[in-house]
Amino acid sequence: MQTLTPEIYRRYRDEVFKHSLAIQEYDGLTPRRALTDAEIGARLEIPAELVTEIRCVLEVDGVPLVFWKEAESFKQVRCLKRVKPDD
Amino acid sequence: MSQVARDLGQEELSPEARIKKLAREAGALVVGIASVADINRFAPKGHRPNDMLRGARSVIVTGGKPNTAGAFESPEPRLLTSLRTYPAIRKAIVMKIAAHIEERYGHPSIFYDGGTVWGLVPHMSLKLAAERAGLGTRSLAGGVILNPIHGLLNLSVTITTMPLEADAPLDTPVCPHPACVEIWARERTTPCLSACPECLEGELENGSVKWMRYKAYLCQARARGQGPLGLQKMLYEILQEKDPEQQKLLVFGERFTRLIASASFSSELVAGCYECLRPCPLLAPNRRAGSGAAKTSGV
Ligand code: SF4
Ligand code: SF4
Repeated sequence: MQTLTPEIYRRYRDEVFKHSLAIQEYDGLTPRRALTDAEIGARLEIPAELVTEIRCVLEVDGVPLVFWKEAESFKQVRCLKRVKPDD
Repeated sequence: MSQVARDLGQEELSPEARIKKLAREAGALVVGIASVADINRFAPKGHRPNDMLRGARSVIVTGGKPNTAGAFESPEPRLLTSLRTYPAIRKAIVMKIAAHIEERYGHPSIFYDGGTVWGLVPHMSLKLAAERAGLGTRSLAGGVILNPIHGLLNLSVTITTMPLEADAPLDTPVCPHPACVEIWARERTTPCLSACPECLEGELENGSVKWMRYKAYLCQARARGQGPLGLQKMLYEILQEKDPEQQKLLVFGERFTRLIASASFSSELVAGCYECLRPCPLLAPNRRAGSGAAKTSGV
């Protein structure tokens, strides 16, 4: 398999993001189908395995660390809005 | 003869009825059957049941309550995830069904509970299978399947080469709940949308969902912050840190310690987030102990 280099990653990441399941659109409650890695690969003329690698890196890299770190306080705040703790 | 068998309680069940009975006895709250041909009308090549099992004809979908009612009453949201119920037994249930079909009917079968295979993309969509098997419909909360009686379901499937009579998808969408339609009329939002405006967008029109958008890439960062991806993210931050003293604080701190403990003992490795569905009116059964609808399957 072709090795994923920073250059390849930078070049294709936005296109892979755009066509993947990263943002899922629905008409009513019917999902608009995203593309599979194989379909994205065919469109970008790169191997499907390379698309998979780019997508997997993006899944961790694509959101700033601060958002990951704030996840717990987000859940805590939302939870305490609905569940009042005992005194 | 069938009258005698009925009277003696020895009536021969159809394969479908027998499979569903077994699923319920093993702990499933709901069970339905979808045909592979029907699923393949929607699933892309590479993510179809017969991409997982050659010659697959039917998918048996089981669902159960994701948590105890009590976990929804906990002011500690981490417990809502770490005390998950159906996820602890869902694989065993579909494994039993697969074994039953192979032993009794001689049809090759496999089971799947949504474990991912390439990053976050699963072998096949359990949501799609559940929808086609009539267990529920999509919702404004990220397309999650909601059941009209039981609310949120956790899912697992058996895939088999055995042709089985399929159940029909529900013809009425479960979401939005009438209470949400009223809230929308007043406030132009719904409980799920207002709980997580970063990940969820959408609009209601004439009492139905007109359109919706689910930013899965943001949701997974929140929902899986305590899972393997959270560990990778933090490990990278630690490796980037130039100040050795600061690096030490990150490595020995509570957050990284918990991530390592999760990886070692699977204690919280599942991660998760339920905050958009916590206020959903359709989840009332999930939050109510003591009613038949709210029974915690198999636990
Ligand atoms: S699961 Fe959590 S992060 Fe994801 S959409 Fe719901 S509230 Fe937002
Ligand atoms: S709160 Fe529940 S029923 Fe209401 S719109 Fe959201 S998902 Fe649908």
